[in-house]
Amino acid sequence: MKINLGKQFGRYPAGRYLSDGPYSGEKFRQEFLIPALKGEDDEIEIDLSEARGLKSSFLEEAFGGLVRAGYAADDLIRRFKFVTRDPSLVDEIREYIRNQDQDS
Amino acid sequence: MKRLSKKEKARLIRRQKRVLRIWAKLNRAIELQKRKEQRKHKKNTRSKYIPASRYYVPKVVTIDHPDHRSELLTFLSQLRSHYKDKPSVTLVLDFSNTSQFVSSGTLLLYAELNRLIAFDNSVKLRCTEPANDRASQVLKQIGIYKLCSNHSTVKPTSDDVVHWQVVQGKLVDNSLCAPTIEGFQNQIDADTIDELLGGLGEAMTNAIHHAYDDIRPDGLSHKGTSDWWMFSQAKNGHLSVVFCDLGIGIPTTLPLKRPNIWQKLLQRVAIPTDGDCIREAIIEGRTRTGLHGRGYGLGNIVDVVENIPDGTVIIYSNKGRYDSRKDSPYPNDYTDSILGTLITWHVPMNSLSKNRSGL
Repeated sequence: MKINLGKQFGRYPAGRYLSDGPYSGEKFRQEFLIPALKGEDDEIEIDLSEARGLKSSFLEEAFGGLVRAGYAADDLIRRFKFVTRDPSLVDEIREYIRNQDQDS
Repeated sequence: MKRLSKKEKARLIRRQKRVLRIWAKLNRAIELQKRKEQRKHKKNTRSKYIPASRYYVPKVVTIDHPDHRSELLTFLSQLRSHYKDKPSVTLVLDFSNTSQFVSSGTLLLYAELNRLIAFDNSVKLRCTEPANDRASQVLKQIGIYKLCSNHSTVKPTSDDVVHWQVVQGKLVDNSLCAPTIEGFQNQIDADTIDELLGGLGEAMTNAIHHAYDDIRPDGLSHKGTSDWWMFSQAKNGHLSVVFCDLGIGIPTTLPLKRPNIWQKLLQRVAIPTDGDCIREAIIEGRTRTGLHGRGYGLGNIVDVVENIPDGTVIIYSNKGRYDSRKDSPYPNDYTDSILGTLITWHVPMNSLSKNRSGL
């Protein structure tokens, strides 16, 4: 299973909740990540390279929100593979999965 | 029937003419009286002429230098009072003395005008043109003339004016800002554009989640919508991107939304200033993820310039100011509040950022 964030979802993902705007983390989680996790493929490749301006609000809600929705952190880290020019993005996403934001 | 003599007939005709003359005279008098009364009535019911109120825009539109900032904030306060107390009176912005627009102050002015129009769009807003031609070009380029229904024929031609762009929104939507920022892709590297868009997205999210939680204490008792404004300006080899919201400000939201940070700050400083609050929120945001260059909230906004040589960020919120430069000539705290939050990123053009993974 492959998801191209920039092409399939939006080139400028930003914001946390559905009410924030059209390309929020919650929307990406609901429309792409959860259906992919429910699918048959064990490995899910997420291509972040064509999305611009990825920052914490979007990433935490999209990926950290999966843990709050009941998915096991270890399972998510094992199943998600990332394609990106910026390796620090992968570290950040894994950090959000491990320690979901307590204040959100 | 007795036939009238010629003499009698002539007498009767004269009498009839006299009666007709009297009637005509009487009718004329009645008509004159009627007109006189109509004029009197019209005069009484006609609305009295009320002269417009004229407010002089400061010579330098900026929020950095304390004196100029004070002049601008006093001027903005006068505009708000006018909208609140004299909505039937035409408001004239007199730009005749204005010669310099600094991006941060200009965005604040632009945002305030938009907020006032949203508060009451029945107020007639007009303006006079500045004597300085470049200043007039700026007003045309950013749309202040349009807000004031001024049909100035000035054409923005100056190099440092044609690149001024304004974007306005109510949601977190970077597709609104992207055309402006990506328009500089030949002069700025992809990583810097990525960082600027990321910073703008976080600023929009902060504005929508926190800035408009309460009524802005500006005397208008108007909550309004979660508006934000963005400005970009290319000048002297640098791109300035300015973002602004007219909410309650970081120093007000900090104790409410982040009580743990507020308590930590109180342990160090008995009475924290607005500048202290901004600094504390930045420090917490930068260290929260534990990853270099990958902050959280305000930390994210400051991290935009982390890897850009000669890049700077300035955050103004209420009376406070944070400047990433160590040698800033301006204070961390002012005596007057901008009643909102304004972020300025300043990045060099035609330069490459450091490789993130190499740091």
